[in-house]
Amino acid sequence: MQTLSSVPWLHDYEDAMQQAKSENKFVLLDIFNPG
Amino acid sequence: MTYPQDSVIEAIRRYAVPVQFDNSKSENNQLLYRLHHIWTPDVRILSRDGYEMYRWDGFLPPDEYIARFECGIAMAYLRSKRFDEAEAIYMDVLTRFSTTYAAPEAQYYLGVVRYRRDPDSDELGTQWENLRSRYPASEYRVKQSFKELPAHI
Repeated sequence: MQTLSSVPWLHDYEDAMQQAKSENKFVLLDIFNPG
Repeated sequence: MTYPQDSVIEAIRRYAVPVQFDNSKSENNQLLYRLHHIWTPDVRILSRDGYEMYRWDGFLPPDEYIARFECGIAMAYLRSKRFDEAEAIYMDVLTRFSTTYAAPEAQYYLGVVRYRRDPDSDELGTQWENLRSRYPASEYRVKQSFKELPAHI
């Protein structure tokens, strides 16, 4: 079974918006605390 | 944890561009203030022009996460008047994740999707009847309970 390994997180808001427009997708925004 | 699961990764990749911010880093403070961020995990589905289409706070295990995420994507499609896409995703929640906490929401909005696409259909009543029988203790059963009142009230 192929492993997908990880969510391809971006870390720049505007980059995510641009990529979502180019791929015709929505944006999943996740705010986390490392603790 | 939830995000390393292949099923979660696959769902996210299919529908969304994921972007993540650490709330302990000062460089993110301006964005977090603008988003009125208060608790983690803080998860939002945004349209391509930045409008918030859906949100939830708090940890969810993988199946609950996928079901909630799919309800969020379905709502984003519904708000975009893309009824066929919304319907397919709500159906997926009801098929694969019928015992999750998000499932009653999918049942409720499946009726809404079909009604909004075709107001002459009886699908709102049909799906809400399914909601009453399948999820009688859910909040969404309460949200349609005005349909259960006697006609003369």
